[in-house]
Amino acid sequence: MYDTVRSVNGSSSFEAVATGVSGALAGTEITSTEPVGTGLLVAGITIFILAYAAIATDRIPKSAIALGGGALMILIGILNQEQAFHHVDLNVILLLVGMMVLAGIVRKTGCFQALAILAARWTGGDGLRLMLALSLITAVLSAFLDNVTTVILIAPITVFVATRLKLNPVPFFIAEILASNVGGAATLIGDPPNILIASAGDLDFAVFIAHMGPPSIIFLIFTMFYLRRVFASQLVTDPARAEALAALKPGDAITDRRGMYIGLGVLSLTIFGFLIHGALGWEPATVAIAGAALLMILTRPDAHEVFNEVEWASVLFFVGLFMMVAGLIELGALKAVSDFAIELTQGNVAATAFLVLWLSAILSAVVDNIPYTATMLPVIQQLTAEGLNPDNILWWSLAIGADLGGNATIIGASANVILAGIAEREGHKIGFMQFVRYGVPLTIVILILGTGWIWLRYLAFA
Amino acid sequence: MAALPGVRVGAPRSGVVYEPRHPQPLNSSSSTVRDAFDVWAKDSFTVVQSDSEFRVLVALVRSHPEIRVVAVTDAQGKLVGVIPIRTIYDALFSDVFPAAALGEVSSVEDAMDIADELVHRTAGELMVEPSSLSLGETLHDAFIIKLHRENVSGMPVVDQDGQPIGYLDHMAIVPLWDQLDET
Repeated sequence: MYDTVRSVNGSSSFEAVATGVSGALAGTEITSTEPVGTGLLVAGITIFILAYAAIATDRIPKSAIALGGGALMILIGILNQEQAFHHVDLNVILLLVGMMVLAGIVRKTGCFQALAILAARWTGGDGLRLMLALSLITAVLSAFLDNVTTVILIAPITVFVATRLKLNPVPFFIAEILASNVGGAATLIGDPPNILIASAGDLDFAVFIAHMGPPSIIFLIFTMFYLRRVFASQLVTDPARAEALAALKPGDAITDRRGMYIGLGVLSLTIFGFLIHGALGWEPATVAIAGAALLMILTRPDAHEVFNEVEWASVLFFVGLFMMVAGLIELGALKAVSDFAIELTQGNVAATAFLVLWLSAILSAVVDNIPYTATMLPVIQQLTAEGLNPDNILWWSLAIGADLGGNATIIGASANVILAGIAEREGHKIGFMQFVRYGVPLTIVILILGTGWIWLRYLAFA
Repeated sequence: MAALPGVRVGAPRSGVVYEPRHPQPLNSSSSTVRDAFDVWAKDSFTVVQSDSEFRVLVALVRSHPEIRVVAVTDAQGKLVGVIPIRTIYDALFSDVFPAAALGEVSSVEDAMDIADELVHRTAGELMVEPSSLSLGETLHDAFIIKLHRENVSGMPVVDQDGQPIGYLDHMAIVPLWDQLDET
């Protein structure tokens, strides 16, 4: 993907960035330095900024905005259709579809809810231990399922236990949001930015988990201590109420026992496939669609029902984003960004990595981290070409920043917004500043830990 | 039912426009809800105030198992929502078999619904937007536009002030079908 990043010979000035667009329009690698009209460049960047702003307002479906932006890039002549479609990364698209099908079938069996209910029993109904257990389950599930799927399975159980224990569910919700983003950072399939990063950086699942797993575990352990410290006083439980939770029967949550066994078996096989896909020369999407197909063959669900569960709006959002970003690549605008980064850090690898990590975290806290990451991919690829990405340090910095920056605000990630919506509907609105009070300190400490990890793992002994 | 605060079952309140008439044959093009009401409406309809607690709804169902929809009114008696019997059943199920109810969640909407059932328990919190029929509406519009397309089993009938005076079951279509058979 993005293997056609254009070279416009280093200058970051607006005029120089425009150089080479004519070559891009011809659909060939840019070697000429013919200037192009700045009008086209301004139009392309304007489309992109307006699309970002429209996505941020959340008033129009973001899939429509991204597809509209991509279409406009073609209509005004920045790209032709062939170029636009060429930039749509089918590895990302089919990996998403495959995992959505797998998760859609397995989550209907009730097995994940049974696990959470089991945890409620094991903790003896103690509010604090229960919050930590549910957060841990959320983090682990988020590493292998998308975060939104995880939180919609955990949220009702949270409401239930909080209601039965007469506790405020808000600490539970905040803890689960924070844990879902930390857990999602660990694997290639844990968070959409990771899927984008892995595909663009040609990083396989095993490599991804080897580099992102250890820091994610460190972040998670710290998160657990943090949650315990900030919420312990709010979760004092009446022992009589705690006893009521012991009566729960986890087995009742399982709606399809045969489907559960098959589903968990195929999911495990798929994760194993991810672990060895690099060695076998397969792409992650191949593993995901093979797993999805196998599960559908074994469980024989209604195909229409299964494919209705796929979040096509999200899938088409990615398609539109790829086309919009392709427009910026063809215009050379993202080359200017990477040139600016090099100027700022004077080509220092450590400074560039820390810039990417912290900038990604700050921006991901306030804008959707998926379009942000999609935009950064060609920038990092260009920095890689400039020799600033040894050991893929910039990819890991981008992953840590984009995944964990979402913990700073209630709008930082889709899972945050979904849980906040459920909380508000149940009469427990999580205010922006209320979340910031817990999210920002944790995010800052995790980013400091992440910076330390990047330095120790990739720089100190290099 | 006198022990249940805010509950009214059966007879319309005094002074409403509706007065039962001698039933007339129905037809699908010109008959009105009022005509069908004379033929098909049951004595039993239920109204609760929006601040009624869940235990009131349960007591209502216990004493009137034939109820399919509970009308919810504000303090002035105006219809503000309806509670389908399925909602009450789902809330009861979540209480009695919580693990089984939680295991059925697979979408954001499911998560929202079950969280509602677990937390929101007054009539006003359980109700959905009121869909109602007025006496003057034609059965043509009532059945096609409201009952059939909204896929509901019946609706409260309201007077010109928006106050519920009864309930028309969707099976009021039976007399219309009988007319077809006769022709």
